[in-house]
Amino acid sequence: MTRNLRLLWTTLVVAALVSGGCKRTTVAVYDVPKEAVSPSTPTAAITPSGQNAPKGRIQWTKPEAWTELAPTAFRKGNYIAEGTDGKKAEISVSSFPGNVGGVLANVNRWRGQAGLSPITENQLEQSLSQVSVQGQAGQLVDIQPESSDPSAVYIVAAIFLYGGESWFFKMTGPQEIVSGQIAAFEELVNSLRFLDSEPEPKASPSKPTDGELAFDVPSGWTESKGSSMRLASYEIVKDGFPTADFSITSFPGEAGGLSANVNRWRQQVGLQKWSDAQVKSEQKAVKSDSFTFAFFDLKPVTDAEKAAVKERILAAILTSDDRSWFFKLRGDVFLLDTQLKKFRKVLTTTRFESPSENSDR
Amino acid sequence: MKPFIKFFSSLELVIACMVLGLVLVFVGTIDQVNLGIHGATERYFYSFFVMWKIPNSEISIPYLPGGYTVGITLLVNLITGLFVRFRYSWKKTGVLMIHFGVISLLIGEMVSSMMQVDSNMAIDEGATVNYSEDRTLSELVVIDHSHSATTDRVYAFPKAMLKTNYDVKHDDLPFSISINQFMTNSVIQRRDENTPAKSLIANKDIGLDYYAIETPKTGKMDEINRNTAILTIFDSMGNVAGTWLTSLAFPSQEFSFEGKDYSLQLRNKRYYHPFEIKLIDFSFDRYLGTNIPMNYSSMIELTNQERGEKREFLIYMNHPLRYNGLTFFQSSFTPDELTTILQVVSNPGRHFPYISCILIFVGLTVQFGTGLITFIGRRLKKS
Repeated sequence: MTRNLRLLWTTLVVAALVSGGCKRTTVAVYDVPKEAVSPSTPTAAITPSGQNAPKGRIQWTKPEAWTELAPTAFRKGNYIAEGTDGKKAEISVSSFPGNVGGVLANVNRWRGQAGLSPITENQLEQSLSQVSVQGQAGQLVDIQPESSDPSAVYIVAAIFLYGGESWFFKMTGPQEIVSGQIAAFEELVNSLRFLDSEPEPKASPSKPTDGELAFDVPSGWTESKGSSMRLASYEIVKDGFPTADFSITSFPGEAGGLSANVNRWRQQVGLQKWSDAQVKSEQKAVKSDSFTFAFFDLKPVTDAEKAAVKERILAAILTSDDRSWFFKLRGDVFLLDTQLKKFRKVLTTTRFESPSENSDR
Repeated sequence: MKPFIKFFSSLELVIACMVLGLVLVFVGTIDQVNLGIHGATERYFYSFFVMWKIPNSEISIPYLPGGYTVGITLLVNLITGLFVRFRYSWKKTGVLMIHFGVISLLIGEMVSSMMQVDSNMAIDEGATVNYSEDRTLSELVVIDHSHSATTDRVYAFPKAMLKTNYDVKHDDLPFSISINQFMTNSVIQRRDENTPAKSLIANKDIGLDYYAIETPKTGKMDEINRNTAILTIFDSMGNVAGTWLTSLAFPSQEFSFEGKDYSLQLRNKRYYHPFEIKLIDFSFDRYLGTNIPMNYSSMIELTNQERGEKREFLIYMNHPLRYNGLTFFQSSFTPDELTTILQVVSNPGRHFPYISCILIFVGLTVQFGTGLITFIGRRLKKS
């Protein structure tokens, strides 16, 4: 009997091994038409404020009060606005080919989501208002609940038919939250940038920061892929050192303020935070013909810091009325010694050119 | 050999298998709370042994036979029983059919569990798609955009090859890929002052702005395992070209290597089909004045150029489309109701349950019918 049991288990183990061995892991190689490999997953939260997104897209800036959520498979933008008691309104950005059945079909779809009965073409006008952003016409949709219940679903949306696609900017949530977020929603709509839109009439820049940012690229700096968040991305490769990374990014307003940004960078390289007073005292001014940059050299100073920290950041912030530009070079402490002058040269040659100047170059 | 056959054909073994089956169903159902449906199915039913991991160690030991072991043993018992125990006669035709019905049921479930492939096809209204994506398996794809003017060459490395500290490469690619870290599940965060130092290794593209935190694997139906990998590309001399962060949530990331354009993406494993499906309209109908769902449906257009076919179908709840050995169920949709998600099932064992049910139904009818006729005959004789 024992012998037979052994035989039984041996059979089972062999069966297990055989079935396991059947799952071969090999690299699959195949060809697909070029258009079929465009990202199916969303560029979502990665690109909204990016400047390098492909043409045919709309970019926007997130209102500060909203919290950005991790990307989902179907949303190009995904945010929530929270109320005081944990209730939330959801804001999504999505695009679909064609007109997706037309405005009436979409409004009725949303009315269904709000638990309202469909409306006819004649009643549609009551829910719609026209909007124009950067010369692009769109429609604002306002679907108010019929009940006064604060938790009744209220939907506000904007529709833009652009580049052969329908773009939907939609806020959904309890009316007590959505009502308070309409101003932020309008801010989102007004921030839209249409990448393929016709060039605006050429006018002399009204502000020194109008136009496209340009600067003289120092020798030894090579353009890197960077990310969609960056206006410019370069790397410095030197034997014996880790690659240093230079980036320029831009955000509306002060993007958290001077101290918050400086201290974030200090922590990135392992340095202790500075107080607001220290930030002010360490701030140096670097002037170009048109601008004054707030410049910081974030490097280890004390012996303890030198022992622990091997990286350094050269950073400069340019602020205008409504926007901040961040110039940041991060790399090895000693490598950046050799790049300090070059970094300053980037700042002093920074300018904003109109598109025609760029095309001439 | 005789005791061996006697053991396998014994009725005691049937009882043991049934009791073990009950235990597995009970324990597996209870553990669903922790593991989710997929997790519990994998652990208790689609396994040879249920393993217990010794705490604070990497050693696992079996403590229960799994569904495969119980099922195979029962199957062997039924088959050997037919040869050893069964006495063939016309009167036993029904029992024989029931036997074959149960055998067919067991074989069918085994075929399904080993060969069934479930995937999802997400289609935007107005868009056309010719592939479906596996919900549980991922792959790292390197796409060579310089391959030809009209096509790109895709190199898909299956998830099984993506292990921390392992390298993957293909002879046609001029570089190798070293997996610095592979996370079965993760959450993605923007880089900030809390970014762990080890995440700063990513120095290309999205990795410059985001990082991943590893989280426990989930087997729950409404959750996904967000696979993430941090990987470094090396040239043939061992020089580093860069380190990327890739995750199931991310779009493809483009890069150039030795003058050629490539892109890199960790995505759900794709199954390409010889036909394409266009979503004409997705509809979510509610009972009027309420948010109570009444029906979900997708009007699609299926085009198979090889066969010269172009047809429209309406897929809705309990009315799937069956085509080319695949079944398309209305599975889900996005909250904006503009993207349908069809579940695409390829199951070579899908006919077995029907065959089993017919065999068992006919077998029971014959068996009880024969008994009834015999009984009525005896009563008539007595009277």
